[in-house]
Amino acid sequence: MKFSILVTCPPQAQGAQSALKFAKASLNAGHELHRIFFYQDAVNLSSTLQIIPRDEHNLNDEWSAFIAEYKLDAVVCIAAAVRRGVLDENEAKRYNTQGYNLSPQFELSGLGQLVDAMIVSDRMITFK
Amino acid sequence: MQSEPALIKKVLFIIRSGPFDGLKAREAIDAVLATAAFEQHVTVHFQDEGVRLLNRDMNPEALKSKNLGKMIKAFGMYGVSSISVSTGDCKRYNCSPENAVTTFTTLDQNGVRELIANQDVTLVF
Amino acid sequence: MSNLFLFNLSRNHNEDLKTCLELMNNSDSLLLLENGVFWTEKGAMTDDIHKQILHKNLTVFALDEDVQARGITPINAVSVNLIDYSGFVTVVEEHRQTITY
Repeated sequence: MKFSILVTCPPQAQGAQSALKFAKASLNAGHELHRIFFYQDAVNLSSTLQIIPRDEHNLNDEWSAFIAEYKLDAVVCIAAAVRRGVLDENEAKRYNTQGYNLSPQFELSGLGQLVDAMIVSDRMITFK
Repeated sequence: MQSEPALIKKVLFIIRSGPFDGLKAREAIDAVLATAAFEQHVTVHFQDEGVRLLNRDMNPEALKSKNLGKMIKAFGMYGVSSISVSTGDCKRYNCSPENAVTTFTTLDQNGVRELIANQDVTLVF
Repeated sequence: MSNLFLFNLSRNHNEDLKTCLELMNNSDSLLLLENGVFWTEKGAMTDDIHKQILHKNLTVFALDEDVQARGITPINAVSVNLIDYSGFVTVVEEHRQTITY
């Protein structure tokens, strides 16, 4: 089956971890992950500027590594991201900010990508 | 958008977040408008604190916050098929056709369950 | 095909669980995860919640990992099916929609 996942909770909520575990389990079961869409406070999972104490689990890194390993389509809602301080190089230029912080495994795009995921997927699962 | 065959899905948004709860309601409304703009069959059901979003008498200017009622008014223009509130929540949140920013239908509990059963995707915000 | 509802809120959210159950159709399934697994503790579910689950013939699942993490014992008048993430994936496959409350 074709699955897509919507994540809306902040990185600090357990849902951010549940979503990752579910994503891994769905690939293990032989399903296709069409897209993972990060919306609302979940956009912060794509920030490289969230510094986690060394003795704590770094979920942002684990998400990035997982997306890279399986070459997944990980889309971060651009409007939700920029207002929360998550920018890529283009947005940093557009808004003339000091820097940018989007992890290279993620892509900023519009809500149309969420709608596309709903249209083409057999199952849409939200974690919040 | 990718070159997939054109397909229209039935998408229901249940909005439970109130108007003064951070960005929750605002971003729920954005998702509704985007889904309708991509010509899906969109219905919106307001529930719990979300019903307050329909209150025409809100005046958020003093708080310098955006008037979400104006965005909800635009639902029809974007092609949202129907807007509903459950009968019980109308009473609980003093919501009536006279004081709402948009027209809506009322549904009893059975009606809401039937609505959900008829969808391809239901998102709760 | 019935629907699967995910519920992840703790026992502070009694009204939320009630309204979630009200939205569910007969023979739908409820998956308790994260803080939602606290509802599997003895005495957690009030009588009206019990009645709804039995009356609608709902199947209740709970994520075992989240139960273990919280050190609770699922004892309940309602029978709860403990599942792992691979079971979670199977349950999603078997339902038409997955609705996260």
